[in-house]
Amino acid sequence: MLRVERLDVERDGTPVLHAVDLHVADGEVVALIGSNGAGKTTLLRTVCGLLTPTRGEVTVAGRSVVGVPAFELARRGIRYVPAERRLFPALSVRDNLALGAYPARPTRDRYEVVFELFPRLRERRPQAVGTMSGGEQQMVALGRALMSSPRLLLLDEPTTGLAPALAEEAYTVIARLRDAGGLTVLIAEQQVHLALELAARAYVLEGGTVALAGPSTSLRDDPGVRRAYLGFA
Amino acid sequence: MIAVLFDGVAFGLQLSLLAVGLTLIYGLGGVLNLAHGQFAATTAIIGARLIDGGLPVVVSITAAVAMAAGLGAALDVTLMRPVYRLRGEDRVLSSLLVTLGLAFAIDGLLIRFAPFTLLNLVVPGPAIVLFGVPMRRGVVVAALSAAAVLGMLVLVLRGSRWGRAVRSIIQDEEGATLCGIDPARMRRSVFALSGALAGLVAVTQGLTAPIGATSGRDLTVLALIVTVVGGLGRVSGALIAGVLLGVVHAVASYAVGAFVTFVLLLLVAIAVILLRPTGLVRSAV
Amino acid sequence: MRGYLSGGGPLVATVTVLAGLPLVIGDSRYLMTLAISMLVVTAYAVAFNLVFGRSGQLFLCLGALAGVAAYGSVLLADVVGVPLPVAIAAGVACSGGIGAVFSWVAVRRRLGVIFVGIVTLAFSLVFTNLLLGGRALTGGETGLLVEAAAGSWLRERVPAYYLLLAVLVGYLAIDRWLDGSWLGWAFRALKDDPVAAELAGVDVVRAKVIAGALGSAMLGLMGALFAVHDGFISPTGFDFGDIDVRVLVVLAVGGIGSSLGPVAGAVVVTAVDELLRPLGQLRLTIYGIVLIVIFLRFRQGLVPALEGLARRAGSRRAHAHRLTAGR
Repeated sequence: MLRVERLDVERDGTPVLHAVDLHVADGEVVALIGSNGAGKTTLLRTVCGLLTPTRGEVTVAGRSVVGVPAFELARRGIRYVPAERRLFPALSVRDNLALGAYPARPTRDRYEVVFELFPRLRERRPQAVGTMSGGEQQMVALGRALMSSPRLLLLDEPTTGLAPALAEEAYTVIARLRDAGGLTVLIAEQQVHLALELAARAYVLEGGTVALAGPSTSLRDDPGVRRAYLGFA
Repeated sequence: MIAVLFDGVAFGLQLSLLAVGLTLIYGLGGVLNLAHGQFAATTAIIGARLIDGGLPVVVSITAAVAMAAGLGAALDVTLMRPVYRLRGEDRVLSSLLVTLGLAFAIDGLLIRFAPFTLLNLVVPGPAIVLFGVPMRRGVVVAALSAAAVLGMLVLVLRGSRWGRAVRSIIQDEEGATLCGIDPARMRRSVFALSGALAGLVAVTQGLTAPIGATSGRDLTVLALIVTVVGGLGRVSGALIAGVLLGVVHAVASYAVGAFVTFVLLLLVAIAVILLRPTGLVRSAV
Repeated sequence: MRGYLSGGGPLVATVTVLAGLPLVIGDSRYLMTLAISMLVVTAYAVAFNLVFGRSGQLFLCLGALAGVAAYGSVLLADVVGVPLPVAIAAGVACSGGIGAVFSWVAVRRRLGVIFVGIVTLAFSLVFTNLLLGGRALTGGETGLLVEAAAGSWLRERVPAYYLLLAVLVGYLAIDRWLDGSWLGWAFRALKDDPVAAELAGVDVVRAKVIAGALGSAMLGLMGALFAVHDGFISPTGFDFGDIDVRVLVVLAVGGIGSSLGPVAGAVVVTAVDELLRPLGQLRLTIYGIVLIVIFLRFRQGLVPALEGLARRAGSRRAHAHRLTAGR
């Protein structure tokens, strides 16, 4: 589904990503691990079209997406949920979700899918999103991305600012989505243990390059990963 | 006194109509169009010329307003394109200088080629009596038209897909992009809308008093004042500030005369900028 | 931005040429009047360059600032009987004070360029309307005849020309001196990266207030002096549509930031303005188009852009020379 080859990305003239190779197969959930500044966000923002690489190739479902404007990629089914969420604070939950389906008219079915995953949002339909808690906003952000029946979901640190219980809940939802099929997910995460539990494979980004890659099980046992990201001495 | 209030509300509704276009452009694109009033003046001149040429009044003003919409879209696609490449303050400043130049250019053309052309729409019939106060038909039609257009605008902004998309861009442009909304195309349609609204104000003004080439500058200044008082980018602010300042204008004109009224409105704008730059209205959109 | 026009040599040369001008055209009343108005516009442009070009404050009330000092001085001298020099000083102090207030409030309230522009534009309109409305004091639309300095050397064209030229030279000197001082460094730093500049210790408030006050005072002084020379003041002489438009075009043509840019721009614009006089209101259209084109394509101004072209052409020629010489 997603293939990144020899990707170089610069921001304000400074190289951030170098020779990054990555791929996510149809229906897979793959994790992107790394500390702050390693380039996870830059990578996701490049895939969804907000940034343009200086070198390299990004293909989704066989079509190159380099140079295609972000809104066009969003319409093609590539949905990015930024860490800052980027919701519309004065609009209601319903309006935020409706916009997720743009340019199509939101159908009852899609609303149902989202409310089924996030029951708490159902009662809060008319509430202005800006007045909601971090956890609820995260639900809206995720729900909004799902309204368009995306094929590729790019999640940037979805558990930021969430209490552990809510973070677990979010991951349960993502797991359900994966199991339902038809959705490919690339998730950048600082909470490495959660990510490695959910994802089948993971890439470790350090200083803008892929330092390590492989099945989550082996990464979990890797001494370097354990020391750097899992808090073991 | 009631007559003064009615006059104020009638004028205020038109001010709101004038300001909404300007505030939407700022909210969506981060640019300010200092030629806004000149779009209205152009509409007035073209409408008047078409009517003089023999076309039915309704056709003439519809054509003129449509042309104003086209002007707006054209502005976005041509002059604004290099401006959008800039960010933040640079973009704002550039838009100010470029549209100021456009305002001068249009003023010069209108005053040179149509200095005495006036759009004067007379609605035949006796005065309408409202709550015991006789009002000129033209003023009533102007007020009702403005109110109707504003009402439709609010409905569209709140209820339609396009309106929601517009509001979303104002609140978070990147978020809107990530939802598949094309900001450039939305900006173009908002610019066209803004032009049309300016044109409509020319028509409503024409219903109350003759409007001509020299009105452009005054209308731009009024639009700026209302926009700033209501808050840049805030549609509800523009609506409320318009009616408010319209009433202030009417009351002040009645009490102290034209010059002082204008000075008063300007001082209100200055005060709001200095004390509450975000505008008097608190809501976000 | 340190182009050909910024060197000391061209400055001296220009001043010399300007000083010698009356020797050539001194007999023509028409040309001398034109030359004087050119000096006035140049001075306004130098002042605006300081306020906007260097410190980025979009004051859209240049005419009003000049008018405050002009009307102030004239009224103080004619109506109250204050000696002329004192009256002019008071007028200039008023203009400078108003400019200082605008700058100070704008910086302290962190007002963006839109707000500064709108506030000053509003002030410009307030001033014009006060003039028009207060006819008892100001003579309204018809204006006032200036009694002060009537019959004195100030009313003669050639002496007035030299006085205004001296003032202009003073402005240019101040501008160059400021540019080389901490103030110039502060403005360049602020333009480059405002956040870094503040962190580096640039006192933004002081810098901008000084620029605003000084520029406004310059506008006031020139406005007052010209008013006293001309013998007549009216609102249209200090109108946004007359003064501010012209100065904007001068700066667009001559360039923002360089010392001599305003001079070059003023010469060109004054000449073109006269030549195009038969076109009447269409001149406004032309100025508008000039503003659009220049601010869209040549953000530094037309003259610096041409300078850049000249420099590139010159280096290409030099390069070609080197190639041929090497054989």
